Amino acid sequence: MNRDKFDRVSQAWLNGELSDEEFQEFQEALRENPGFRREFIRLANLDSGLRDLAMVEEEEPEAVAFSTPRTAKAGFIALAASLALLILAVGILWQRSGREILVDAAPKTTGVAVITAEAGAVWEKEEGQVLETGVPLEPGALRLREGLAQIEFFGGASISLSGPAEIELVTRDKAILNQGRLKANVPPAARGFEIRTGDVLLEDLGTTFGLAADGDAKAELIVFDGEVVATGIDGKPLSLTDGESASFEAGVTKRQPASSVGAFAGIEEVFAGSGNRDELRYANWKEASLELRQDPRLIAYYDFENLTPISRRLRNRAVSGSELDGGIVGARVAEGRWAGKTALDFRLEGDRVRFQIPGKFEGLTIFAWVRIDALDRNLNSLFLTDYFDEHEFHWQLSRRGALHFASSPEGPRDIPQHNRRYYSDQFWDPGKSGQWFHLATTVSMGVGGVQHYVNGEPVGFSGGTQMHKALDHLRIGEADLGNWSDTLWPDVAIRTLNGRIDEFAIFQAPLTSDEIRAIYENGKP
Amino acid sequence: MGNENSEERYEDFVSLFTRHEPALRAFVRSLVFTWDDADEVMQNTGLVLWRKFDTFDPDTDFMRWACVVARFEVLAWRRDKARDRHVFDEGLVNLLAEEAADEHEVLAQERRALRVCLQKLPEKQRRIVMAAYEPGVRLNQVAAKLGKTATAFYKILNRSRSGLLKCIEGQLLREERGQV
Repeated sequence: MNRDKFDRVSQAWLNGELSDEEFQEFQEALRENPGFRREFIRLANLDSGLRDLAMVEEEEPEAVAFSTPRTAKAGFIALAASLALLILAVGILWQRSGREILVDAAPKTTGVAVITAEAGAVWEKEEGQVLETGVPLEPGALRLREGLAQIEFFGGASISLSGPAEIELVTRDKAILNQGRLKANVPPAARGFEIRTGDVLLEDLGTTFGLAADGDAKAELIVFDGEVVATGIDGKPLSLTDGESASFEAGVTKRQPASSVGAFAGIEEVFAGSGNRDELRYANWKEASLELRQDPRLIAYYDFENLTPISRRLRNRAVSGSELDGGIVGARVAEGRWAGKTALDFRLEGDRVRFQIPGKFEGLTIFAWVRIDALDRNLNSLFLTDYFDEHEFHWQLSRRGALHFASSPEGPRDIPQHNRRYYSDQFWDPGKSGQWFHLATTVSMGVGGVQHYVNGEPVGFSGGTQMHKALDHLRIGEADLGNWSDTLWPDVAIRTLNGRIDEFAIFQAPLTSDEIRAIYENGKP
Repeated sequence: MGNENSEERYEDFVSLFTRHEPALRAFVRSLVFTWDDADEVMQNTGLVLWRKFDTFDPDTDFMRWACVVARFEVLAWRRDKARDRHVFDEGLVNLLAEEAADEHEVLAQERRALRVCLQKLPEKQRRIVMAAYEPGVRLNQVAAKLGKTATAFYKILNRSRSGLLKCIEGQLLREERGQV
């Protein structure tokens, strides 16, 4: 690395503009060259000095261009005084308590973006990297081998990324596209969103655009609406608006007719298809839901659609009709798996939906789409019959994150002897808080007829009691979704769910694993 | 320890710490990536310095001692953040820390000279630089606020910093020659 490049790179380091690779080179140069280290220390010193001076200017940012700052000296004294006060306060605290102060170690969020949707996405993960919808992403590189992923930056911009692609997240409103295709959506609030590709910096002035990079300093841009400013190595900004296109090669920007876009295979399809993935998934589920409700095996089916804050009735959409509507108590209307889909939010001790479902069943399937926010209780309700009379059942979540189905032909009498309990393998931990899960359990009579499913896949058992004993028929009667009324042990048994539900179904027969998987595939967010 | 004695001790600490705080912050800044991180390390360093102040020998150099403590704080912070983006490796932190601590007197002179040099920048440019350094701002937002593209804004910033470094160098040379 020569001196000029070092200057450029170290300034870029201060601006937070370096890619991972450039940072490695930068570090290497510092390690090897004492002269560079000296330069760098001086630059960091300047950086710090400038910040000291800026801290004391105490101006409104808007007024920066016009007003006269106070003299730096007066500010410096103010700074020293305020620091002294701060330290004094800390010191007094310390002296009073007579022991060590614990420095506030509350974890700071370092996330800059989040994956909000995926379609057939296959990631190349680094060790320890968690790439799942809903999990905050820290700055660094993401490698999408195939499929589509929608990533929302905390600064407000969102992109649909189409694999194979490599993108580096830099900050909440900055990214570097090394390779691949993306469509960016930048609402006015996120104006200033930046994407760098090769030596070209794109600044978004509130718009939608598509960008494809071939990983070899070549890239294409098309602006669908709004304005994008592209600046290459000549430093001259090139402004592109609605329908305009440009190509980049080795840092040189060049306008081109929009019709010539597409030098990279598949670019149009990405640009055309990726934007409305959410709406498509939602529409797809609606269609599947209309078909599902015709299933003659259904006891009851609740789609949780079109709820309003004053809705107190949860409609049964199965042919069994309004007799089996649920009564909403407490639970609040909230957003479901997709924007526009309603759900119920359960949180407080009173929150529940009440049901009265008569009958005697020789088999069972019960499923729900559930967003678990936390598992605060030893047992957390999904669907529990009141009390636990003969042949009734309880469907719930254990604190350690397992599905739990229980039923007893004898009711609550001599529970250790008779209660058949089936704990699934653990599938949930607090890292999955806020994600939607499809949870299902199928039951056939006799021995060994219980099967749990998570997100369409069968899961094994992590424990249970009396699992070798046969299950007889099942009953429901009065029951709660998201809570437990008329408990066996009134003092100890609060089992309120902490989370959301946006679809719930009960069948009087065990569905096959293929059927469960299909329901999951049609409804996954 | 009597109360009076400890209060005196405390005043000593505050006066030393406030005097050296800018130098110490510059030192930390050369070792970590973002200002948020530097501030976090500084806060911890301040507390540790006060906790260990009893072990400080007043006849020795406070800044030297503080740099040693700060370096350990940076290394401890680094271990927590090693998976994060753009964290210098331990060997480099140690190298930089040693060299920065050796230079701390010159660096303090440079920061003093900076105040003179900043005043020499054209008014408009100076305002832009100050806006970029306000705590908590994001550079591209500042750029947008000033009606500039980020590229143009970075360019002004980079040029200003280079200019300031040159000016500082000249300023120190003149001081050495007794012209100021």
